[in-house]
Amino acid sequence: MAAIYKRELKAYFTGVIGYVFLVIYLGVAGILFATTTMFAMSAAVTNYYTLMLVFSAVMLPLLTMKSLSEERKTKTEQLILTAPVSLWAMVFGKLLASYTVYAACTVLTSLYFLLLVPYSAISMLVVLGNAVAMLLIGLVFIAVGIFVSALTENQLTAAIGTIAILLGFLGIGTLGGLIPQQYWLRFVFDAFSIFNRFQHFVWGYFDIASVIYYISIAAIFVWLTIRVYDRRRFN
Amino acid sequence: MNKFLKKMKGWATGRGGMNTAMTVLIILTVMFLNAILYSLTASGGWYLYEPPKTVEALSGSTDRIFEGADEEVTIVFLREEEDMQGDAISSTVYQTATALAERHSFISLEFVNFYTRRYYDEELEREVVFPVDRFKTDMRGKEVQGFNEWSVVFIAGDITDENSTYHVLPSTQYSSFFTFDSAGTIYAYNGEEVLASMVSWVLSDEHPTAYLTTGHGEMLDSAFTNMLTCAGYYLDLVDLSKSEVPADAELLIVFNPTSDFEYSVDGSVRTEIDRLGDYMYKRGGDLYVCMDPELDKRLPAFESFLAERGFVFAASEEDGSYNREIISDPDNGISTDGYTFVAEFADNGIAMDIKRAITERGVSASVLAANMGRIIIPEGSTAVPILTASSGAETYAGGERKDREGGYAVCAYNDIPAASDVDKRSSIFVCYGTYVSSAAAMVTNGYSNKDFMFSVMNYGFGSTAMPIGCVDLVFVGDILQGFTMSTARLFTALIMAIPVIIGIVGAVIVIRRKYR
Repeated sequence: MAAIYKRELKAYFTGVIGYVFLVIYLGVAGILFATTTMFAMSAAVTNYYTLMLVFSAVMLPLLTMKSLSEERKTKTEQLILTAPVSLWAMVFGKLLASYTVYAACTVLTSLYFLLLVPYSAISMLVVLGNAVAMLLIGLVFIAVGIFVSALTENQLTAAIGTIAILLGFLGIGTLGGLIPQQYWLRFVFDAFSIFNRFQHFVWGYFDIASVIYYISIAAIFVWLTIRVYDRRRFN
Repeated sequence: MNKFLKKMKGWATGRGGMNTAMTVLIILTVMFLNAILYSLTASGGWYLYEPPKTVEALSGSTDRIFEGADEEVTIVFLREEEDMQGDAISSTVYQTATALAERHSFISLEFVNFYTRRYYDEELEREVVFPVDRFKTDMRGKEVQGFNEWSVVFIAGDITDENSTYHVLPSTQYSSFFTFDSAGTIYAYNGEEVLASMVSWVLSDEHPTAYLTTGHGEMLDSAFTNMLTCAGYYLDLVDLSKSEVPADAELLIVFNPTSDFEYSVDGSVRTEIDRLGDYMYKRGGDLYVCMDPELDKRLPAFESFLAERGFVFAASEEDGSYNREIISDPDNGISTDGYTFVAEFADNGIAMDIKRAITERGVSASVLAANMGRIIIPEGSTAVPILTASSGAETYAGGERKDREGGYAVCAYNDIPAASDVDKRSSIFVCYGTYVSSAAAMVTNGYSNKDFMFSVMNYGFGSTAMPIGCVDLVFVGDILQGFTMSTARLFTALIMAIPVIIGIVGAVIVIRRKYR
């Protein structure tokens, strides 16, 4: 797994995609941070992290679209499937490589709030909580991206499919507002809405149940990715 | 068909089918367990960390406000009690309501499921149906806009009695309990004040309606309308170009108009000014006016109307440019240029009454003003100043100093007789500046702008049971103190330098690798 992880991580920075991702992500994060805090004369984390959540749903698929679809397109997945590497190691290696790039960006952008400490009573624990939530949600997004990437050999299809699924996850909570009479259905939508659960963190609550939820969703998609390759191996 | 069924059976019992079934089972199990966990935590929350509670003990002002309260009041939330504790905003409102009910024995809380319409009656020891539909209209019979599960119903007496006095506070996610800044960020929490005023409302026999004019570019501050709601008014809009001032109007508000009112030179057509005049003269109607001194044009009809009633807005017109006089008061200044200052109360009966209503409740009567214009009260007029600048103040218009006499009126009041068959006089309050009643001013610690507005409504227009002295919790922690725009630009440049540097380094690396 370590070899795959290093290879994938190196691939991001020997090619263009890693740098493009970093420039766009950090650039947009910087603009959002400036407009929602400094130029708004506010140290509130709410607006910044909420916007970053939606932005990440659009950006992260660009990081993951190539991970497995490229292997399929160039027919190198046969090498992987026949190599003495478990499917778990392969999938985890790729996931961790993407996650490392994303986590570095998230941690760096969260450190921006340190600039505001001398000017406000901002709680860095709240910032930490939000950063951890973003890291966990990023894990979910990357797991979904890798799963969709495993289903197709077309990178664009993988990216669009991932964005659609992630925006669906984010927007599922709003469906509850459309069916006010069905209380149990609203409960289901609220329970599975990534966005609704993220609001707890935004308001300063570190919710264990949501942490478990995010990890379990990521685990499900990793499991599904492995299932896909397991089927291919024997077909 | 048989072939298909055979194939499906083979798949289902084969390795592929078993694996798919196992996968689906695992996914459903995980989702089910998450749903169970979500429902368990919804009641209490499994929080590793919670932010410090922003709701302190009640200020104690409600002891005075509710003095002599002799009727049971029920505050009905249209969400279940567990749901109220599930998120930060709801739990804040819940804490305040609970504290209020614990402090005042005549107040009780009920939590009704908006969709099942049931709540648990402790006396009957069973679930009973709550008449939710009754509260979709207010006591006047008008539809309550935005009535949903976030609305709060205040009921005096038996909550199932169809004749009980009630009031509905519509809101979106309890927004009525908060003050927002212009960017829509929460600025302060006004829970105690809102709950106290709504309880007072249902205990009172007077439920006046205030109408806000439209059609002249009026831009209302939500803090101002929330203040009016807490002052006990129903709020509605009126377009005087289309209709008369409604018969139930007890207060008409013209807030920051940017275009003039219709008027007729020869009186051949009934216009807005005619309707305004008749409302005041024929009915003794009350008027609240807020004008913006930064408006760069005159509103001839409206300002003439006010001038006839004792209020002239100082301005100068030179080279086709119209500039209103803006007051600089360095003696009382908060800002170095003196444009933001602490206004003084004038020395007359009504101003002193307004001030006393604040100070006798233990609140300092200190009103923050900014970018205020100068009201000139013509000689012989019965209008009186309420708030003034100090004797050392000056006025500026178009960048030039216009006057140095000081003592200028920034808020003024007049009480003029109506028609002989009307048994009340018409009251007008004019504020020449939008800052006094803005969100920023009304929740700034150390100043009593909101209590001043309540007192104006009380002494100027006769509203009762003002929640003066209640605590507004300002989220100071979120406001940057001592932070300048130049610092913002510097920090932004530093932050944006990071992706630029990465981009340049990346480009160099990729290009070098390509041409190696």
